[in-house]
Amino acid sequence: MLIVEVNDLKLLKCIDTDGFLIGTDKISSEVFVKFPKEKVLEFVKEVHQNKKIVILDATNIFHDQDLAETKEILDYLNEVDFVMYNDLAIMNMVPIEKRIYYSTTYVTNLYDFDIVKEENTYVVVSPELSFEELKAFNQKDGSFIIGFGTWEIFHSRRRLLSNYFKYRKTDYFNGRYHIIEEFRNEMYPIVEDEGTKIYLNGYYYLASELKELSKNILLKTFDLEYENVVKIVHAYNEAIINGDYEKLEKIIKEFPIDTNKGLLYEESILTKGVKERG
Amino acid sequence: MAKIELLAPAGNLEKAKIALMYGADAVYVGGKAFSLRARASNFNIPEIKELVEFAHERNKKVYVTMNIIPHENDFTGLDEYLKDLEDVNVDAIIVSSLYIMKRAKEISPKLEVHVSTQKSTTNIDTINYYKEKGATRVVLAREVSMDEMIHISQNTDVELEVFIHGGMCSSYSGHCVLSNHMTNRDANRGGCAHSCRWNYSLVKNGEILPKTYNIGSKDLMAVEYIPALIDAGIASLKIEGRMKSVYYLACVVRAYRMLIDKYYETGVLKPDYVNYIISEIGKAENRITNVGFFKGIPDSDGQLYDNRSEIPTQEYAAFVLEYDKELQMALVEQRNYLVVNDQIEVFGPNLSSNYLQIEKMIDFDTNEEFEIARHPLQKFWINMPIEVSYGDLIRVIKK
Repeated sequence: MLIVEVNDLKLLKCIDTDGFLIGTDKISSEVFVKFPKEKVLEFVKEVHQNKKIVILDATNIFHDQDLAETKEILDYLNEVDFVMYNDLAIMNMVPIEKRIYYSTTYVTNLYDFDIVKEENTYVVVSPELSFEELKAFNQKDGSFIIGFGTWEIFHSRRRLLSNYFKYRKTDYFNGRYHIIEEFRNEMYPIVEDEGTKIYLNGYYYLASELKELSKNILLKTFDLEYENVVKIVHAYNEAIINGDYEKLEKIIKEFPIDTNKGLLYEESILTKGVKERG
Repeated sequence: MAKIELLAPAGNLEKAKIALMYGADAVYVGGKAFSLRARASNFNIPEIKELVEFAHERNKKVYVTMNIIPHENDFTGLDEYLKDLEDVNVDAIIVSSLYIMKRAKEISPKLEVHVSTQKSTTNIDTINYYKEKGATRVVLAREVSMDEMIHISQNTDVELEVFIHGGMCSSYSGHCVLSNHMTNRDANRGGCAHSCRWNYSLVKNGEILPKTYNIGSKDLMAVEYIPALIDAGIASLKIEGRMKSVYYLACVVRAYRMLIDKYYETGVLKPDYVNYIISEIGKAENRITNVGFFKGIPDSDGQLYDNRSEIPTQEYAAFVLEYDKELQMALVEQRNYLVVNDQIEVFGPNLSSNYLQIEKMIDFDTNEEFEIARHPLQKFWINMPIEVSYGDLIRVIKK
């Protein structure tokens, strides 16, 4: 199953995907663009006419006072095929056959996967895994992986942009913000909404690795332009159909965007002092 | 209703005992496996056993953190470890992994299971989920406000544990992997590099803004919320900092102990007393503090900008090892610069603050008098007209 995140409603026309991940205000966290719930509902109806599926992003972290409104939104959008969530409160609002657990950092081994899977139809495993670790999930029904894109690597309830500008006695204006650490060169997108999120720099991708991985693949489009999204989805779809993942590797490598392999081939270091900063 | 628990961190056996001696009702420690804070000098099973015996003799408790988010190869020895912890009568384990939680219920049913703050629990439905899985206590996310805590407490019978003092993740705990991506150090397996406390530049629409950008948060100090937390029925008040010093632990634990006891005794905390407690904590606290999320989402006052968070504190001078009643001398171990004629304060678990002047210092090894104690861990005798005992602390009164 190939799913693409909707950052532009024109993606409705994208024929190379099995379905879409779409988000709306108040409940969605992982998608980059959120649409009014009315627009989402229209989108769902049209997608269903095309015999594809829609996954609703409900990955916010919810406090008790948020839950009533969240339930209203989920009820309003109950025609979606699946709800992707991380906060366990959502389990009381969505039946098991519609649940996709988006594990963020929490499902990093098969033991935890098995427990979570008992209560969900699909589980998106944590992307901070090595290739060897990811391969192990291929044996599990219902595992979902992020195949392409960027994701939150930091999620705060604090308003870290507007607070900063207040401290600097400068007006905070909407814009595209990134942060660069003083000893490093990577630029990490930072976005303030109800809280603040920092995203992975560049676009992570799996390609040649996919021959050994789950074929339930989520493509996260973040701020990619529509034309590029369509090309990327097409490349992944072709690779899955033809089994030619080396060609996919070549296509993504040559794509005019910053790409990386995340932590796929990095050895995690658990103690300080082993590797210095910089 | 049971009296609220004061729960302190401990990075080693000495710190754990000091925390209990100074008034903690329970301590939480990391074992050699499955624990965050990889750099803390974590406990082996014999040490945990010794600590549990020490704690239980005093009607206090020991919790062991097993709150890593484990990868496949981290599970080696899990069953044996759980059994060992149960065998040495640990009171509870603090976990993040649902599998470790499940396995603990199967392998070591006498161990209570507490859900770690790494799970960032913010609502009642999630608490109830963990209850169904067998947890008896949930550590709430530090993002939960006082009003939210009251609401949660009124609507669940699961014990709630709340952080009241110490360092805070700027992110929802468990949801930050900055360290993983910037340094390859896995924040959720004990390797956090504290990337949120580093200096950054902010780039707006492609242009680097001139001043340093920071995302780190000030440390938490919730002294003023203790009465509300007690009244709300919170089960446990938790101090952060398994890496902190003996002196820090003694001062902070003692201060909160006094505060809690005063509120139970009198039903009220007068502003003067709260200020006194804050000043006591201030003698050990070396970071800028704030009330975090207790009063709602923090504004810019809750963040660390421009300056490093540490405020040097050099007041802590010596640790008391023993007392010679006849000679009225205390054998102490040096922690910071101490000079003859310094005015000092001596205090301890069973000793309220006493003030005196150093008149004489005699080196333990050479038996010679000297004027300045400048060597860390140097043992020496000082004049001490009041009876002190092991674990009492000496600090210099700032002029």
